[in-house]
Amino acid sequence: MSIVTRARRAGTARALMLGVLLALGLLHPASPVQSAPAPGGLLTYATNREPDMLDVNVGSSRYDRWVTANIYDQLLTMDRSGKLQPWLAESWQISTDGRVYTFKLRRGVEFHDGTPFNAAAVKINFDRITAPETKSTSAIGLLGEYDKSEVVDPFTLRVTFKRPHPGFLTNLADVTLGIQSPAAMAKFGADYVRNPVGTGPFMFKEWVRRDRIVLVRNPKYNWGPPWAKHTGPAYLEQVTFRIIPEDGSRVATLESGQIDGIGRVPPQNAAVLRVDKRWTVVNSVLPGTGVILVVNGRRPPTDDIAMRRALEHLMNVDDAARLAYFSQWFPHRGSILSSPNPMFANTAKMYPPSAQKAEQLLDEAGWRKGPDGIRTKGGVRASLVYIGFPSFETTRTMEWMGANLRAIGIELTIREMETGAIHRARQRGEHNLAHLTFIFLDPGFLRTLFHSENSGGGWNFYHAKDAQIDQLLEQGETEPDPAKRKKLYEEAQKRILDQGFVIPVVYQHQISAFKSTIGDVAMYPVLGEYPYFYDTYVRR
Amino acid sequence: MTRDAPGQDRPATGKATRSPRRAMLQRMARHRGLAIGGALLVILAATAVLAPLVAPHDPLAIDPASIMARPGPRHLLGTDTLGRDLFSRVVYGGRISLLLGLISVAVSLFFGVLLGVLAGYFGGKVDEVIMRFVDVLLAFPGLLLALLAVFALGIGLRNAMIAVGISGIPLFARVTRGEVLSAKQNLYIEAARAIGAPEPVLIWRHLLPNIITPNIVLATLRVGTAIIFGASLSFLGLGAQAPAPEWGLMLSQGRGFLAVAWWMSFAPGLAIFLVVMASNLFGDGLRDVLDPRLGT
Amino acid sequence: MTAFVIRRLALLIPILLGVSFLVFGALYAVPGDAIDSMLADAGASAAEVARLRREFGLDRPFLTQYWTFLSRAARGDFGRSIRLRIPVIEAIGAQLPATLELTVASLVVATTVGLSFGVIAAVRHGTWVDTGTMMLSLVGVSMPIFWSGLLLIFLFSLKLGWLPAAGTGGVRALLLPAFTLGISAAAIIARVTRSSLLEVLGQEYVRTARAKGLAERLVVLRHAMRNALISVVTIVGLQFGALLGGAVVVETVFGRQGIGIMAADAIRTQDFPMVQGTVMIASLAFVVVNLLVDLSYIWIDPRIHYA
Repeated sequence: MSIVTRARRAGTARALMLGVLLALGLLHPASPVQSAPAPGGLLTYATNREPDMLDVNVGSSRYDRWVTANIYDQLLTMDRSGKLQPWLAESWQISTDGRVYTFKLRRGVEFHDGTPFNAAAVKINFDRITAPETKSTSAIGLLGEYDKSEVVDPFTLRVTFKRPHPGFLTNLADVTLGIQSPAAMAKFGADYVRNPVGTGPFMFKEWVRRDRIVLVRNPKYNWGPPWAKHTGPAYLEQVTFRIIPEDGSRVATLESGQIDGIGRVPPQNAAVLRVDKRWTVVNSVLPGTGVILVVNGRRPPTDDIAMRRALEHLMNVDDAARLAYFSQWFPHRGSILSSPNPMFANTAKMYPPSAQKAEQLLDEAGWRKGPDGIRTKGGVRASLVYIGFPSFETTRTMEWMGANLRAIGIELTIREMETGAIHRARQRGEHNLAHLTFIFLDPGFLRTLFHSENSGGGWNFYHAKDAQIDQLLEQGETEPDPAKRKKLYEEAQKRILDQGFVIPVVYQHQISAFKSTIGDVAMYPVLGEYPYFYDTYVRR
Repeated sequence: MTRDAPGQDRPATGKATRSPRRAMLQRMARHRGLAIGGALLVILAATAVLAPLVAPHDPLAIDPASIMARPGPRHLLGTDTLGRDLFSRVVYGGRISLLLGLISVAVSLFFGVLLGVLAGYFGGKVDEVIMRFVDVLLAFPGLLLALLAVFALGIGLRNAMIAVGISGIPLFARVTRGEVLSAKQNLYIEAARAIGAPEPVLIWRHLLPNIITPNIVLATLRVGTAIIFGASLSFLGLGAQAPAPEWGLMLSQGRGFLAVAWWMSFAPGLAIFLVVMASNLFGDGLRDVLDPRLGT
Repeated sequence: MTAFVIRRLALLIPILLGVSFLVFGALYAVPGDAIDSMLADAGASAAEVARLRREFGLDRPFLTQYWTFLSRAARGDFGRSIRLRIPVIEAIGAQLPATLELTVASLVVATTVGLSFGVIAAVRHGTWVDTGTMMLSLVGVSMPIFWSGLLLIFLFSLKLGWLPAAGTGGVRALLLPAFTLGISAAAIIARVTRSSLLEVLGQEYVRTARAKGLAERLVVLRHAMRNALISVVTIVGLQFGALLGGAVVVETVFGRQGIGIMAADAIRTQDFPMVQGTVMIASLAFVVVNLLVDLSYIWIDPRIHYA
């Protein structure tokens, strides 16, 4: 019996009981009370890893963004339909050559320390990001070929780039480009990483290492994002982020009622929690590549396109989602972009899953089965090496794939290692298959991942040189016309899949679960990885 | 220090007609712990070696239709998240643990004895240098040295075996050195008596038996620790790789499913426990019989 | 005797130097470095990665980096964690209490349970109490910590709901992990206590004390324990090291914060300063405890002299 079936049976039993009680009139048959949100209340939310730092200029790892999303505001924001909207920047103009952006900023916005938000503050942020002493790891990549910012007047800022940066507006909606208080950065210096000051709905109060981070309501907040459900300060008085690294313990802590919400719910637990009325499960699909396998086109046997195409036919994404992710992470229907990305192309029909077709392709290409059942061709053994970071889901995926591969005469060796070593190994092309997952909004980033110039020293792990892919990615990065840009990226997605350089598996999800007494729990739109507590309230 | 095994009477004292070796073997057979531990070890080792005959299923065969099945007639210890039979996996995992125990102890023995002999025999500066190096190794508490070593060598089962072996070197080095030193003491007395006898030959003839016995006992006792260390490394994700049915790795994979499939965590842990207990029983017994001086 | 103490303390420096060199070398030997780990999901270009590497001084030769580290460490500056950018000393200071309370609690469990079982077994030598205790101890020694920990979580947390499955703060969260770690150490302590007590109980002067008519319990506790204490203290000292080393596993199983798990994470992400700091602290603590154990012999048995 699967977990989901077991959970559903439990849920059905409970439902039956409720029905009986209702019939006996022991329960008031009123509809569930929709209380209007009222200010007040505390919320505790547990994640799996502690943030590294809370200074987005310097670093913005996934674990940092849980907290920084609620402390900082951005110049632009993306609503739930993926459309860019003004936020701290009320309007903007782009020069015809795409290199100069002029922003009119919102007035009346204050940092948590009382200092005013203005063009000078934004300029200081951008300059700091690009300054070498800052050693920025994430934000600097979002600023493209930044040249300079000029304060035209206190609330008008002109930003100039050395080359056109059509992705700039989308990147401005990223939490990583949240605006920090210059006064605080000057005051705290290197220790600003632990003393964040932004303009957001919550202010930083304290950080007890390895235990919790506490935020309190910003009483002066009056400039929420346009897609928010209310205006004025947040409802919650206080938000506490706790860190519980072990998945099972985190879920157990939620189920015991000790906390109000948790993030990074493993798929097997999500399946059980969602049928239980006590919990609200929020399952967001994240933009970016999704969970995909990159195939090394330079290392045998995957240097043979027939082998790569056979692998494509062997991958059944529905089975993968069901077995490795308990159906909680959805099958990937694209190639290198996932469905929330505005330029996503559905390429599912290109390789209908079929083990027979895979075998046929291999036979036709001359891969003959040897006496031990493993195919060979011209002295090369059909032996694949997988390199990845240890994670339960990806391991299960590869173990399942390994069994399927063995059945058609290909052997698979799984090598899992820690991040530093993986990176070098993938750069050197020691793999035939490697997992890749990146979260981003603007497809301009695809150049970093799939252009041949980035093979060897960068993040391109399929290592083959395909002129068509390169050209499409180059053009797409700087094409100012949105319609043309979309077409270019569609073709890029199709081409890379056609050549068999990526095998998509599932989309990347982030699943959170909350007590049902917490109202309006929503993930940060589109980027969806972390909850945004501005509209959240405690039901009375 | 421990002269008695639990509940064991002292063997009857000397009938002069029996040779010392036969007497020792008799003591071994009569020692309950030794016998039980030894028998258990033999059974476990045999199961591991004869795995293809003992295991009902292929340990790597995936069965999507019966994922996380409870222990039952078809699957004696249940199945895991991919439907693989846990009993078969545990049996095949025995092979890995057997190898792990043997190889890591071999590494510890070889380098430990070598260092100990060099330090004890040459004395002086050589002794100082070697013993300081051993002290540095000893300064790492418990698992930490093995952790660092396996990371430096590269994650994987083979390197985990070597890493565990490295962490065991100080133990054998110290004991060997002690034995060599005390053998040297006796030797000077003897040499004073037997004038003209070549020293190296004397040392060799006296050294070897004195070194072998305590090291054998230690090695047997160390197997249990080595298996636990190795499984710990796999548990932490630094040892055996998927889909290998290594016991520590299986425990780590089962951890997230404790609430819905507790048998995934029960079976491999039980296996480790049995093997370690058997080797402890056997090792203790061996020590009682061969060299009660060793203590704990 | 003072000479002995001074000599042992003086040995601390070269030992710690050796530890730091070994650690540095081990990390350096691994392909990749802290930058690769940090940028794992940032997707920085090759040029940016090179720039960062330069700025952190990670592109300089091994010995230069080691020397920089040593000269700073001598001044008490262990630098900042590459990943977290906060001073290593501070990060360790925040983690230390959790590990300390776990170690101390485990030691308390280990000594109380171990000593009492060992004494009982020795006093009731030859009876089923003795056999039973020794079998329990064998079981305790043979149980892998990660297994016993999981079983305890399953029973007391998931099934009975009495204790939390994870967490670092508070007594309730400490009970299961301290018990898990403590029991395995208790088993060893029990055996050593029993054997050294047995040895002592057979000696002449104890028989004399008995003949004087003192209560049996007094005889055992006063005279015998004193002499058996040496072995017991030795084993407690050794167990401290095992507890420190076992901390990493227990902290993983029980989702606790602490030095063990911080050291493991630092090793994984090749955060050189952090690894140096944590491993040094752990080794220092271990070596100091060993020294204290050796020194305590003098207090236990004044007849012992150190050359």
